[in-house]
Amino acid sequence: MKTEDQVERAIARYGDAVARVCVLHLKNQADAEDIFQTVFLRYFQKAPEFSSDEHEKAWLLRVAINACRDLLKSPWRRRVTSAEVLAELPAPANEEAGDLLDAVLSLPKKYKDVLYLHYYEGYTAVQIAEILDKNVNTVYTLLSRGRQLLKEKIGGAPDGQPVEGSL
Amino acid sequence: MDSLWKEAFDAVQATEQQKERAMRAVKASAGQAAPKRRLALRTVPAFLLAAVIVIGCALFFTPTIAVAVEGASTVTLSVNPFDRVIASDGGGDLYISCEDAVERLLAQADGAGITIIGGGERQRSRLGESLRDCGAPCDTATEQEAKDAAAAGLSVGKYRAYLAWHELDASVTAEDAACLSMRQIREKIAALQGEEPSGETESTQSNSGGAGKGGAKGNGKQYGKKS
Repeated sequence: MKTEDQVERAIARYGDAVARVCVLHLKNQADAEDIFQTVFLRYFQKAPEFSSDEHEKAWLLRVAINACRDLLKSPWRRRVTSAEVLAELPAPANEEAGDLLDAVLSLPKKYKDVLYLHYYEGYTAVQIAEILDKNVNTVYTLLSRGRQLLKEKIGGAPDGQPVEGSL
Repeated sequence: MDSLWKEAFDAVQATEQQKERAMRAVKASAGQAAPKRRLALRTVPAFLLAAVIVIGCALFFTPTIAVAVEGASTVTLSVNPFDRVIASDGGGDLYISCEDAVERLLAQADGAGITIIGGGERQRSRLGESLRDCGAPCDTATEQEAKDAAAAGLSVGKYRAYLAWHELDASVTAEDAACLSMRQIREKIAALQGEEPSGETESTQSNSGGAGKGGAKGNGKQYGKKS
């Protein structure tokens, strides 16, 4: 079990990353808050010894993603649209960035994780495969397809860089 | 990190309220019920636990639904109630999620389609939802269709495609279909539909560039309809 000080430090360092994962999946600020709490409670009760800060962050992201998925399977959650979520979020200053956020939130869930972890958190496909417990080739496929879907939604490449290792 | 992604997601942050709530929950749980859970586990009769393990293992290795990935060749996955692949006639890793297995197969097979065969409604619906995100045409079929297809020496998707093709060209045989890939059969159908006068038959539907509906009864989904 971790100490309260360790939890406080983890919240300060990784709270924003966990909050982003929650918003990415849950489309509902109330659910996002519940899962945020659940993640750090789990961190307090069950986190292993970490070999590095990166290992710690990856563990938290994985727990957050799994907790969001578990909640999404529940028939009791309140279902909301992306528009309701975006109305609750602080708007990015740039309209183009807002469009990107809207587009990412509207993607099927399997693409959101890999795109966010790669393009925002900067993980490689191999690292993403470890976090999501997927095959590396699957991650490459999801990144390519997700990128294609984003292009279709926002009418242009979200960035000029190809996915590392993509075809 | 790409600057547009940074701008888009930097605005999303944990609020102070979220952080405080989380810390309050952590403080509240400190010194709480974990020992009680261990105590509860100790009181579960050993034979009940053994029964759960045995039943769980039996369930794990019982296929309840099949998923075929049909490209140039067809690979059929046997899937258990937990959506895990327990057998495959095309090799590959076992005991991984059906979704992952299908993704790997699709990565190697351009233009492939997915057919979910048999299974209960809930599992069929659940798998259908997750596999539709793979970006390949996804359809369902009954076990009877699967048997008819097997009798014709074809996979389910190819059998439906053959029936649709046969509707348009009665000289076509199952052996002709067996020699072609799914994509080639779709192209044949599209070419024939392009030559046919407009209008629908009772058992086929056509769309602007796609394949017709197979004559076999199924769940009414249009053959080759993209998700």
